[in-house]
Amino acid sequence: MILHSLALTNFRQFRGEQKIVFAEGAGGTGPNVTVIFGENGRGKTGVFRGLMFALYGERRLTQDGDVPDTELQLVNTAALEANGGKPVRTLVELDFTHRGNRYLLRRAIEGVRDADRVLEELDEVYLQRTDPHGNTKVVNVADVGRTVQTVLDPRVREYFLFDGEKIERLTRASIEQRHEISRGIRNLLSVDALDGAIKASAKLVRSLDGQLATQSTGELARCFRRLRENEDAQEKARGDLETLAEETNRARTEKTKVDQELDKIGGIRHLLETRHQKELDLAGFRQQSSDLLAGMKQYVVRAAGLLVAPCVDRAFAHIDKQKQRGEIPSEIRRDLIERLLEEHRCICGRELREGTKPHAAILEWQARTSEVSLQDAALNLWRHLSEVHHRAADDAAQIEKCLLQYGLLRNRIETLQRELEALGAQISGSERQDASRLEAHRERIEEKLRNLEAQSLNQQQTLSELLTQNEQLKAQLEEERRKSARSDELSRRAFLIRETRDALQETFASFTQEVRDHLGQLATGLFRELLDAESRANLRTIIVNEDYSLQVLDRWGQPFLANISAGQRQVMSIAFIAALAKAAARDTRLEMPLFMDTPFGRLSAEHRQNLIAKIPEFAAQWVLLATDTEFRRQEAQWLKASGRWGRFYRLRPARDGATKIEEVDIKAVPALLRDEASSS
Amino acid sequence: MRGNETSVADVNQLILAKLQQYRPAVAALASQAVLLANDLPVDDVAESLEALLRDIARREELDKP
Repeated sequence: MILHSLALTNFRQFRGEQKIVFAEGAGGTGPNVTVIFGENGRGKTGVFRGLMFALYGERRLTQDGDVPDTELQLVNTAALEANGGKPVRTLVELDFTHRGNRYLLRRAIEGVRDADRVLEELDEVYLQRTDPHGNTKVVNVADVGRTVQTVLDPRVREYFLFDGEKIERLTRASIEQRHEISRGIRNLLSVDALDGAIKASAKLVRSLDGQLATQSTGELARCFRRLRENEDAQEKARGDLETLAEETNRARTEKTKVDQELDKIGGIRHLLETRHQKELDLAGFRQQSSDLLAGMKQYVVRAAGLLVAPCVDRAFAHIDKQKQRGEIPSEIRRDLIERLLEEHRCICGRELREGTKPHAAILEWQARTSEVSLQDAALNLWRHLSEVHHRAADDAAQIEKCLLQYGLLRNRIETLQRELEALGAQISGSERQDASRLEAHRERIEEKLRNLEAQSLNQQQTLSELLTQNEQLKAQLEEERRKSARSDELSRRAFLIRETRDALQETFASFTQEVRDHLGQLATGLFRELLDAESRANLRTIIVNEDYSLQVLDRWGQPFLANISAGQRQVMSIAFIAALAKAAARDTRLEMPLFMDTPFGRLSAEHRQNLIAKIPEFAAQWVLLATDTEFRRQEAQWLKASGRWGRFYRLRPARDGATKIEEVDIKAVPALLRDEASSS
Repeated sequence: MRGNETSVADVNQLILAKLQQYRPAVAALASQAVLLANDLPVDDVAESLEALLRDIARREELDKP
């Protein structure tokens, strides 16, 4: 999709007809950046609203929140006043090209003042398509929505047409964020059909389980019931974990705010810095301790072997001794000795008479041999015991090593906790009362975080046990099914649909896993291109977690999200959005415009410079809505240097309180802008 | 961005290919569920699937040696 122009007539702040012609980036290398510049409240979001209204007929933006519909007036107030109570026609017209077809999309509403309110009514929806051969066709009104959806699915539009607030939301590890990314991935994959299939099969699973519970009393039905209960419990545990994660996130945000407040208080800054470093160390040690415990689990499982180690060692030593004496396996086969004794003839040909020395020697050999099968069994036992004997020794050494490490880590953790307590006391003991109050509040949050962490660990343990139990129940169910070969038809159907649902869920999980990995790789590449040199040295990889939250790893592969700045978070989100867009375009250059409303808010100069240099390369077209504090002479110079800056529009106040959209020659732009000094 | 229709067709192909790794009765039922879900709402898919499930379960029993 390439935008050509957007015309607004009596729409929001814009009185009369006003038009923005977008830079189109002809040939993929020409100017493709349009800047729409204005102070806050001048109408930048009005332009964004106009685009969304034209495409989807929607009056409400995400950022409108709880604002009632009656307050979201689209018709220009000044035009209404000037028309003396007569209706005013409001019009938005978008001209664009998609996949070789040129579209002209128009939506109009009519507004009229009725006492103290304004009534607005949809007046016209018009879409015409001109194919590459120049044939023009008007699309049936009923098909306009569907046609627009094939150009840009409304569910993915937020990734291409977004405001600064949207970027911020992506950086917060909230449930909202996870759901948003999850929706994005589903949209990206077009896996709605798979999702629908999972829901339909899950519905049948419930229905058949219900029928089984009422109609059947056998063991098979009991298995199905227990499996159902297990699945319900899993769902509850997952829900509880999500709630705990959200509460933890809120508590962490609150703690960050308190830290920021504390940071403003002079005299204790060095204490805060020391504490911050110690808290990072503590988090690292806790992570190591938790990893060590997880690693120790495998040895704990085998630890039972250590209890019987003395018996095993004795049995091994006994058989090993026999083996060393040549009794196992015997050097001479028992059947050969028996044949010699029976034939009374030695292997050398001499006669063997009873009572002679050679005869006695052969008898002794016979006593020392045993059956071949017994010898084989003894040898096998020797091998197994040898394995257990050596593994037990290794396990014991490993467990000892782990326990030692764990002990050292616990010591370090306890020492750090004591040091942190002392620091907390110093901070709260500060002469400043506000410091003392904030510190007390911080301690309460810390306590809450510890409780939440413990609850979360318990829930994870519960979920893990439920999953193990689920596997056992499934195995039991399969066993019961095998036993009752002539199981009733209802059970067979219940079994089959459950298997089908599981297959669909596994397929869905494997798909999203592949996409998460792919998105992570793409976002990492873009992130590193956009970062400043210092950040690039430390921040290495973006990971899209299983729960769809984003994580960034530092140069040592450790999670670092909690420590990155607001600007770095914003860059990370932009990288992720660009990765989503790139993946949606199947890794080719984007054919979608990126329409960004005030994205530079928290970015450092170097980040802004990188964004300005790189985004015109990622995107086919970039429309940038910027305030006077975001877009200054410096940004204009960088954009000019990119060679991709095509057009500049200024939103100016008009005498009637409306806004005038005025195109300014790029050469004349710097004179209109603030420079660094005046902005700071 | 590629057209929505193309992308859905691609994804459907990938999903159906992945489902072939399951035993035939499960693969047939799951594939049919996905194909139905392309055009029908969840309740309608469940309804159509129930009839197919009955049929496949019966056929599977008859095919037993």
